[in-house]
Amino acid sequence: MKQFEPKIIAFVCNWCTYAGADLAGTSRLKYAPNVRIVRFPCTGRIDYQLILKAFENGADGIIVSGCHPNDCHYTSGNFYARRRWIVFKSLIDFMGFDNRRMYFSWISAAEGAKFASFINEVTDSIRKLGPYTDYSNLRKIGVGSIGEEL
Amino acid sequence: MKKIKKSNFEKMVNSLLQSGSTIIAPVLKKGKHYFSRIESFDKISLDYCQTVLSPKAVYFPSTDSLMRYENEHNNVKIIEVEVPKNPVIVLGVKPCDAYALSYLSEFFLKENSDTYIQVRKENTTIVGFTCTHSDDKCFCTSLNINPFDTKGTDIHFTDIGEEYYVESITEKGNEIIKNFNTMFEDSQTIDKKEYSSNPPIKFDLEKIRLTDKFESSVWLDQSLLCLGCGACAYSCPTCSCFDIQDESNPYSGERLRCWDSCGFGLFTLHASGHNPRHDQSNRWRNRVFHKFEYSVKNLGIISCVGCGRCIRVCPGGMNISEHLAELATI
Amino acid sequence: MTVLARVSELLDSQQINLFIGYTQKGSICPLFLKESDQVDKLIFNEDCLQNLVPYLNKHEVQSFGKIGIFCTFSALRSLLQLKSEKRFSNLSIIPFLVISDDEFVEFGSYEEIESYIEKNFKKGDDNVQEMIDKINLMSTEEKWEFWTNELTGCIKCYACRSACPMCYCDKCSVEINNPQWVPTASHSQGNLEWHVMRAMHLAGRCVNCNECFRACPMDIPLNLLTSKINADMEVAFGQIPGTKLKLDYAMSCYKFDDKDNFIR
Ligand code: SF4
Ligand code: SF4
Ligand code: SF4
Ligand code: SF4
Repeated sequence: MKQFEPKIIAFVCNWCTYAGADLAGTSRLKYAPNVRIVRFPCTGRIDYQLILKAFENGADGIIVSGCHPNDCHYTSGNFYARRRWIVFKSLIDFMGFDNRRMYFSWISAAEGAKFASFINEVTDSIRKLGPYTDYSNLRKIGVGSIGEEL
Repeated sequence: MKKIKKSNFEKMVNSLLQSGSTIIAPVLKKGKHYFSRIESFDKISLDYCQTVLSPKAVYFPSTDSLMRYENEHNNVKIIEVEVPKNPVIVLGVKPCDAYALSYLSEFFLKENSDTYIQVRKENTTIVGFTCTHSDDKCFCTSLNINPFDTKGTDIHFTDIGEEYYVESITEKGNEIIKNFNTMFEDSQTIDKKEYSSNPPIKFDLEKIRLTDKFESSVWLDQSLLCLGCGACAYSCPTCSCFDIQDESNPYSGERLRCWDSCGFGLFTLHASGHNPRHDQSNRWRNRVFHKFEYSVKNLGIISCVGCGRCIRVCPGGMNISEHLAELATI
Repeated sequence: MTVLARVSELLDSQQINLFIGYTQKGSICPLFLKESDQVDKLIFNEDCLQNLVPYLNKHEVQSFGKIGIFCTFSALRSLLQLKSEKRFSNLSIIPFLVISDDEFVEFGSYEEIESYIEKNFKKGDDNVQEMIDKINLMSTEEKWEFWTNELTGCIKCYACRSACPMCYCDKCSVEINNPQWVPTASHSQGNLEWHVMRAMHLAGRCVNCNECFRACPMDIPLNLLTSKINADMEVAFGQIPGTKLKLDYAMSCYKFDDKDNFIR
């Protein structure tokens, strides 16, 4: 049987993690091809709803990554983002989202090696978890009409 | 007229379940009643005053799939949605709700027949029950509906103690009696009034004249309490407004029909930003006008059945029966 | 002086043009008074739970300009929080906190509200905390099960939003429809997304009035979501919504040493 290959979406900032990914590439470091990178100007722009949209459209795992604290290109975008993630994390843990599928990290432009190993590690562990269907399975039309409360 | 022993009624329901019918009936959950699909007879809870939501979703679900589509290199393929055709029996429908279901089918089927609703109606049997519990929010009698009326039902049951008194109204009702003919016995005609609830009349319907009250300040005064949510419309058995939504990505999508409410500001918002119903008083006026003026003009029916659900669910304490009583005095 | 006499006085002297209180008509519901002649219909007792402050967000109500209003303790907090969010600059509001018929507090300024709240602060409802603790002890799967079950019932009537004092956006995120951001459909996925979004928007703002839960026709305990994250935020950032007139909103400021244990 073919091994399950997870789809992982990485929301990254332009200045650090994206540059880190670039460095990993130019340094010819090998990392798992499962990750689709979505580039943002800053982690401060990464809306939590994008994560839900990614899961809705079939992502098996999510990575959110940006500049280390104090390294933000816009000085403080990642500090605001950090607060947002702290709150978001508290909410989704409380709601029972599968938190093993969400990764947050700081990866700088100089950390090509960290980027590659992080991606590999995330890919491995999500591959072990298998496809994520809890969220997409919720979209059942007509439930709530006949079957559940009307 | 017929009657059936309660023990036989139970047997009948169980055998309908076994034969693969979907049965929807009032079920008690966390202290409130909801129409819900049942798997066995003992889940049914018939001594209810009113369910939170009406049974309208049997015809008109809160989210209904109209079609799906796929797009491959700009070749769009439409995939039609099959409405399930298995028999559905809605059991324990009160006269107000049955009346409302008949209004809904008029509304959706009279001029341009809505196939989705047509198919559902054809496959649905409405088993009405004479109302035995009412509360201070019920006002069907004020709207000339009796708590034992049979309009909109296929077969109607009245609890007379050890037995149910049974009236078959349509072919579908006759069918049930035919299929279980050993269980039904002949009966004298009875006065159902003796076995039904009797909510008091709260206002004189004749005195409500809306036509010249469009510009009245009464709408603002009454609607101050309204918070502009959709709870009344969504729980109302006759509210029929919907919003068409496409949930799609570049490769595929689905067209949905979702409940909507004229109480929302977005309901009439134009793309230009102009909103002809710019505040809640206009929206409240529309609710009353639709039910008591427009539907009378369009279909000859008042589209409120006095079930009182909107009163029970309103977070702001809007009370349509009091407001109608006020309208009857001005 | 009784509270009713005081309300009459304010209405008669036109210090207020509208009074929002409670009355009993079968059940307890809000009463809007423009004149003092019906002041005796006003009631106040421990069953008067509805937070009336959301009415102040309606522009029809705002057009009265000078408004008196009955507030429960959490309604008072919502008023303060709204003021700290720079709402109501064009309104003069006289809130009343009623203890008994002739014992009441009338607030002349937001500073007075602030110090009253500080002196009399009580945490929200114990039942809410109990439920939160119960859910905290569940496994991830049990939590998911619990919430998807609860939220399946949501019919997207938005009564929770309408009844919430802090949901006053002219255009709510669910109304962003070009493209549609949160699904309009009330399938479980759309419901979940709606509730995640709403809870996030109330982060650092929910005053635990539980009005959302009370408003919900489907009895969904969605107040647990907002209460939970705000309890966590109090620990993490040291802020309690509706307690300070001058507020650096927790989600739009930061500290260098904000603690996270999950970012790698
Ligand atoms: S308007 Fe209210 S009372 Fe009338 S049918 Fe609808 S929910 Fe029932
Ligand atoms: S979210 Fe609920 S508890 Fe919080 S302020 Fe709004 S209505 Fe009150
Ligand atoms: S849910 Fe969010 S966008 Fe909608 S009214 Fe509340 S705070 Fe505003
Ligand atoms: S009030 Fe309840 S049913 Fe209505 S949208 Fe809010 S959670 Fe859903």
